[in-house]
Amino acid sequence: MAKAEAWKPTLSPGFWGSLAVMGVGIVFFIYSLQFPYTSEIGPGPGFFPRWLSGFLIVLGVLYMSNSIRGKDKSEKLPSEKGLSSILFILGSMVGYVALIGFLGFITTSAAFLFLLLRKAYRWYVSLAISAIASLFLYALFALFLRVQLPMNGLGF
Amino acid sequence: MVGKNMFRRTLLAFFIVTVAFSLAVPSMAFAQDYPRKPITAIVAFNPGGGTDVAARVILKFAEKYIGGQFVVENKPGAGGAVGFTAIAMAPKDGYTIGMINPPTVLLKPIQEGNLVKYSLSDFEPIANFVSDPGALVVPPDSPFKTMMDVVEAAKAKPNTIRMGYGGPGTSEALTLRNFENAFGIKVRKVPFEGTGPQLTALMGKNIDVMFTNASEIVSQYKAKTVRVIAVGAPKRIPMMPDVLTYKESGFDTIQLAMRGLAAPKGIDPKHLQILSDAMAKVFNDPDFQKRADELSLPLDYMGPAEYKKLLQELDAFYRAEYAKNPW
Amino acid sequence: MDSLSLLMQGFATALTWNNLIFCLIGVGVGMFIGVLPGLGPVAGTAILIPLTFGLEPTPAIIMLAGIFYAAMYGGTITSVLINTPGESASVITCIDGYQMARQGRAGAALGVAAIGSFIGGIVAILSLTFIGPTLARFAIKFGPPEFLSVMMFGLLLIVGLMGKSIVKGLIAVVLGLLLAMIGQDPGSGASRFIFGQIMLLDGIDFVVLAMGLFGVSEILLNAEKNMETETPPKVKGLIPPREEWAPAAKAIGRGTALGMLLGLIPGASASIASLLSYSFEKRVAKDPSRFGKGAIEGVAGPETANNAYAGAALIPLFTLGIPSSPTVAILLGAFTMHGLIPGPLLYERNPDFLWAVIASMFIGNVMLLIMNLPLANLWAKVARIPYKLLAPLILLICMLGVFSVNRSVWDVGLLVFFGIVGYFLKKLEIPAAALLLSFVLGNNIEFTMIQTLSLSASGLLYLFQRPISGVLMTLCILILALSIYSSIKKKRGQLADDAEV
Repeated sequence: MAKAEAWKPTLSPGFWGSLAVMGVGIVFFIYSLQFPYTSEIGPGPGFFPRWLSGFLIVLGVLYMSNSIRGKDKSEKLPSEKGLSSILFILGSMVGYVALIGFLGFITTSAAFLFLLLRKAYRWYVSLAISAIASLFLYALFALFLRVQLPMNGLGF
Repeated sequence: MVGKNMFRRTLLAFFIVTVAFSLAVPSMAFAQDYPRKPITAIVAFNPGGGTDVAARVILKFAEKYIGGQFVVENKPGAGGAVGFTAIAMAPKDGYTIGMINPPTVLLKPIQEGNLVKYSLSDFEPIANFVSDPGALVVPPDSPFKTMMDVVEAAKAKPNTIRMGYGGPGTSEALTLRNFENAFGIKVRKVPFEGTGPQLTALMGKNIDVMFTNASEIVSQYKAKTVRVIAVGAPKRIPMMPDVLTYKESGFDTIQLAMRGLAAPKGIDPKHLQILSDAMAKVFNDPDFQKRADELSLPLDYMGPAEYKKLLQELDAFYRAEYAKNPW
Repeated sequence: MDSLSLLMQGFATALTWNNLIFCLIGVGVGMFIGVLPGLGPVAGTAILIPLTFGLEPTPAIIMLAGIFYAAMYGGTITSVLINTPGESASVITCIDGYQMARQGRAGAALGVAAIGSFIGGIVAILSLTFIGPTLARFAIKFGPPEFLSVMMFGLLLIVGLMGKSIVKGLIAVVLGLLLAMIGQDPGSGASRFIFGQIMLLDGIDFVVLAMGLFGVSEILLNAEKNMETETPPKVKGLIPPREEWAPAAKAIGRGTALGMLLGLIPGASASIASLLSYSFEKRVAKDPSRFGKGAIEGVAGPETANNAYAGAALIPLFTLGIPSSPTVAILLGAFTMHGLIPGPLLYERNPDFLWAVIASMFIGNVMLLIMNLPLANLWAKVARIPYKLLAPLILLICMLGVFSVNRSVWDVGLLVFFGIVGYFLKKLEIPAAALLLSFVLGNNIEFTMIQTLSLSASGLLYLFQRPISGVLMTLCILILALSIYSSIKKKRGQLADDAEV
C-alpha cells in the first residue's frame, strides 16, 4: 500500500484505506456464504456475517466516494525514512516470533532489544541493557510469576 | 539504518544467533533407567481449570511412586485441540505425556477433521483418572422430580420445556438429541457457554432444566440450591448417592466427561508399564483419595487396556452417530 | 446488624499479621500484574493459584481475591503514562488518560483513578456485606433477553465513540463485529472465518486485539517520527484543579453504579464495564468535544467502573456460587481447590473464612489507595524515561504479556498483525476504540440473541414481554429516535464536532 502511494501521489491514503475496507468486506462476504443463513430458531451462523460484511462493502464504497471528493483529510502515509524504521520494528517482532521457539526466551529477547536499541546507545551499552532487561524479565515472569516461557535445548 | 556500523551489527547479530543455536542442541542423555529426567505432562487447558487442577494433584502424588518429577505444561487453544495434537505428535521417548479429555478429545477430529490432524490411534492410553457424569438439573422448587416428569411434561406440551445445554457440537448436544429421539419429544434447546451462566439462568427460572456435569454443580447440590434428578454414570455416584442414573430413570445412555493420561503412540512398553503402575498406586493412596474428595473429583480409575478399549468403543459410537447426522 | 458484628469478627481475623501480609502480597502482585501490559487478572490469578496450594484457605483466598481487584488499579498506570493498557479493562482509559499525561496532568489522572477505584471498590464490597443476597437474587433475574438488551444499549452508546466521520465510525463498528464472529460460534457450533487456522477456533483474544490496536500501533506511529516524542512535562500534583472536582465526582458516582450493575450480570466483563462507562460519560457530558483531549471524566468513570465491577462480580460467587465471568470462574476454582463451597453454604459453614475475606477486601482497598497516591508521582516518572529506551521495552513486555495469557506464540504473531492494523486505523482516522467496543459486544449480542430466540416462541418480541428487557429496549428505541430526530434537526452538527478517538 505504501509503495503504491509513492507511485500515485494524487490518490489519498483514504482511497487505499477504502479499498482495503472493501476488500475485507468482500473476503468475509464470500466466506460467509458457506454458512447456513437460517436455522431452526431464526438466524443461522451465516446471518450476521453476511449482513455485516455486506454492510462493510457498502461503507467502503461510501468511504471511497468521500475520499475521492476530497472530503477525507486523514494523515499522509509515512515518508521513506519513517517507513523504514517501522518496517525494521515489525521485522524484529516477526523475527522474535519466529525464533523464540528455537532460541528460548532469554536469547531471543536480548537479541530483539539489542536490535532496537542499537542506534540509541553505544553498542556495548545497548548489549548490556538488553542482557540485563531480558534476564530481569525472565526472572520476573518465569521465576516469580511461573509463566512457562519458551526455552532452548539448554534450558534457558 | 544506514551507516558504517551496519557490517559490525550484522556480524554481531549473526554471532549471537550462531552461539544460541549451538547451545540449543538438545542434551543427549541415554536412559538406563526410567525416568532419568522430569517428565513433561501437557495439559490442553489453562492453569487453574478443572483438568489442570486434576493433573497437578494426581501427578504430584505420582512423583512419589515413579521416583521422578512431573512438569505440567499448559498448551491451551482450540477447545483443547492444540494440546491434544501436541501430545499426539510428542517425542516417543517417554518424557512427554499428557492429559486427554474424552469425549472432547474424540469429538475434535470427527467434527474438525480438516483442521485437527490427530486421531485416537495416535495415543497410547495410560490411565483414566476421573469420570464426571452428566447430570440433569432442575431448580429446587421445580415440579420435575424425575426424568420421566420432564418427559411427560414435554409430551403434554411439545416445544415448551426450556432446556439449557452446552451448545451445538458438544457431547451434551448429542445426549440431548438422543434424549428427544428416545422418548419422541421436543424441547426448547437453549445453548450456553460454561456452567456459570447456565446455572444463573436455571436459578433465575429462565430455563426449566439443564444438562451439565455433576462435579460442576456439586456445591449447589450440597447447598440444595438446585436439585439433581439424574446422572449419566453407569451406576450411582458416591458424590450424590440419592440420585438415580439415566438408566434407572428409563433413559439408557451413559454420559461421562473423562480425564485421563495418555502418551504418544509408539512409546516404549516398559515406560508405559512404569507409568501405569505408578498411576495405579496413586489411586490406592488414602491421602490421595482424601485430597480428591476435597476437590470433588469423581475418581474412576482405569488401567491402560481397559481405557484403550473404552476409548475405541466411544470413538466408534461417536463416528457412527456423526455419520447418521452431525449434532 | 448481624452482618456488622460478623464483619467485625472478620476484621479481627483479617487483621492478624499473617493475613495482613498475604493481603499485601496479593494486592501488590495484583497491581503489578495490572501494570504489565497483556497480563491481566485472569492470567495472573490462574498463574498464581498453584502457589497457594500450601497455604491455609483464608490467606490463600485473601491473596487471590487481592490479585483480582488490585489488577484493576494497576491497569490504569500504563494506560495513562505510555498509552498502553496494562490490562483489558483499562483500554479506554488510554484515550483521555494519556492526553492528560501529555499535558502534565498524569498525577491528576492517576490520583482520580485511584480515588475512583477506591470508592467503586468500597461501595461494591459494602453492598456485598449488607445487601449481597438481595442483589444476587435480583441479578439472577437477568437472563439472556436482559443481557441482550444491555448489549444493544451498549452498541447504541458506541455512537459517542465514533469520531469525526460517521462512515469511518460505522466501518470501525462493523469491523469490530465481524472480528468477533471469528472462531467457533457457540450458538451454532460452526467454525467461522478461521481461514484454515486451528488457532483461530477460539476466536481472537481481546487482550491481543487491544494490545495490538493500542500498544503496538502507538509505538509504530512514534517510530515514524523517529522516536522523538516530546517528554511530557513534569507532573504537577495529584489533586485535580477545583473546577474538575464536581464532574469527576459525578463520573465516579455513575461509574460505581454502572460497574456494580455489570458485575452482577452473568457474562459481562470488566472491560465492558469500563468501555460502557466511557461512552456513557461522553454521552452525558455537556461538552463531549473535550473527550479525547484529556477529560477527567474519561478517566474517573471507567476506572471506577472496573473496580466496582470487580467487587460486585464477587457477589454472585459468594452468595450463590455462580461465577459471572472467566476471572471469577478461576476464583471459584481456587475455592474448591481449598475445599470451600461458594454459595449460601459458605455463610453457614465457613463464616469465619467468608467474613475474613470480605474484611480483607476493605483492608486491601485501603492499602491500594495508600500505595497508589504516593506511587502516582513515582510512576509518572516512568513517562520521563527516554522514549528510545522505553519503546523497545514496551514492545517486549507487550509480547511477553500476550504470550503469557495463553502461552501461545501464535497470539504474539497476531499481536504484530493487529499492531499494523492499528497503525493504519490511526493513520486513516478510523476510531479503534469503537472497533474494540463493538468487538466485545459482538459475540455476546449474537449469542444472547440466539438464546433469547431459543427461549420462547414469540421471537424477538419476547424482549418486550419481560419487564427489565422491555424497559431497556424501549429506552434504546427512544434514544435512537431522539438521535435521529436531533441529527436531522442539527444536520449532525454535534456529531461532526465530535472529538477524534
